[in-house]
Amino acid sequence: MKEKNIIQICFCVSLVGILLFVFFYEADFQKTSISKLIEKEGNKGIVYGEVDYVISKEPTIFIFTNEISVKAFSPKKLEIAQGDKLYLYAESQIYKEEKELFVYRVEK
Amino acid sequence: MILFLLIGIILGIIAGLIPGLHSNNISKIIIFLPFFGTEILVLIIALGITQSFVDFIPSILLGAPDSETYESILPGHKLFLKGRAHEAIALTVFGGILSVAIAILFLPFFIEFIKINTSYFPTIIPVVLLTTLFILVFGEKTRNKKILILFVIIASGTQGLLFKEQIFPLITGYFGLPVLILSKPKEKVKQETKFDISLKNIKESLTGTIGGAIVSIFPGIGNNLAAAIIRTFRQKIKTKNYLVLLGSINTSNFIFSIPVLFFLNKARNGTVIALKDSIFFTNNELFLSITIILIVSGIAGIITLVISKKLLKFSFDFRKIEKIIIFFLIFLVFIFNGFFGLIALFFSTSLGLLTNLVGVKRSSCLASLIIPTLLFYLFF
Repeated sequence: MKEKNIIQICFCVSLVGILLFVFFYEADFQKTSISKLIEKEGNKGIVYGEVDYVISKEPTIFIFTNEISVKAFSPKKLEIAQGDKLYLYAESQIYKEEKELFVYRVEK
Repeated sequence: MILFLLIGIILGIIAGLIPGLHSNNISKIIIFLPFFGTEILVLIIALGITQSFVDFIPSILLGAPDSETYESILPGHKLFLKGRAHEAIALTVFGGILSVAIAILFLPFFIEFIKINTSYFPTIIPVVLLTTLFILVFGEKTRNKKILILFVIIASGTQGLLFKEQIFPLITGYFGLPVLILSKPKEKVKQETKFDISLKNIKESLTGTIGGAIVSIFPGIGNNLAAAIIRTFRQKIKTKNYLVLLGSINTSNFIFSIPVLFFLNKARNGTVIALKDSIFFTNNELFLSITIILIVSGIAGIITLVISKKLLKFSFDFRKIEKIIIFFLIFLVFIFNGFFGLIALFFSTSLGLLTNLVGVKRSSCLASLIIPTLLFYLFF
């Protein structure tokens, strides 16, 4: 096997990766806006904003704002305070007929 | 995402080419950057995979050590002196790229295996580590060598306990400086860049991939020790086959460390530590990891061959370069680990020189990692 054959194998391996990525990969969480995220129940995304008001510490419930405000819920206790700017990994859900975000993870 | 892929590849090349600058060190810096999720996942995987290919270049061309590739220094240099350094590097690329294909095919079985057996690992790990030490001792043929290697294991184990946070000076002292200090002045060797690799080497790649999978599960057993153990069982392994084996273990270890992180939440590879708190563990992220591994490994393989060819065109004064590397490594140890690191380097280099001079397996020095891990699993 000569150098050009190894390069051909390398090329094929990369090509398989590119094809798999293009045809089958669908990102779970992509950056979006709060308004787009809450458009439909079950939407997942990463949203940036500010903690407007902390309603409860455990489970953590807070009002999250960026252009519009929405209630966010995390079953786990989050170390956040009013005024914190953060990214939320969240899923849109409807609770008691009100749109809110279920928070999976927080990045400051 | 493409930007992070490119940055990862560039950082991987830098980490691979500069002796002593390991991707672990770069990933420690990345943790503090404001990236997370898929961004950091793509960056770290591109970095780790590229580095797993490129880091054979300094080991083979200069004899400069790296914690993941030091076993390649001797076989690599053997081919270097025959004017076939490029072939030596191509053999590691061949092993690496084949192991990517094999590892991806085996991945579903590997994931099932670690999911089912997670609870047994704390019991199995000390048994595997103890067996490894026994293999090292009884793998030596004469009684004198058995006693000598036992001494090295005890001494390096003690150093591992005394210098707990000094892995870089220890690895440099055991595997890097002794080779550079003891290397004979090399005459300029005309390097041939054409080669023909036998397809029989595929079976070495399969063995290496299995070795990489085992290394990714068990702490303390590095790529090089796994290669040394395989060599113990196969006394007549040829230099070329051994380089394919090393290339396979190095790359597959990184690949398998990703599902180990996803499903066991254990970072067995220094590079993936940066991912531990930065990504969201979903099947989609795992699928993304696999596609990035495939894309980057092909690119990294080609890059490694191109860089090797370009470097061999220059005429180096290797004796001068070796001296520069010796001082550079001592300087890096001082920068990363301070004065205490220099003390660790002094003792580890002494032990490394001893293993080289008396001719016992250098891998026995890895007892400095195995013994502290063993004690942790037995008593804590």
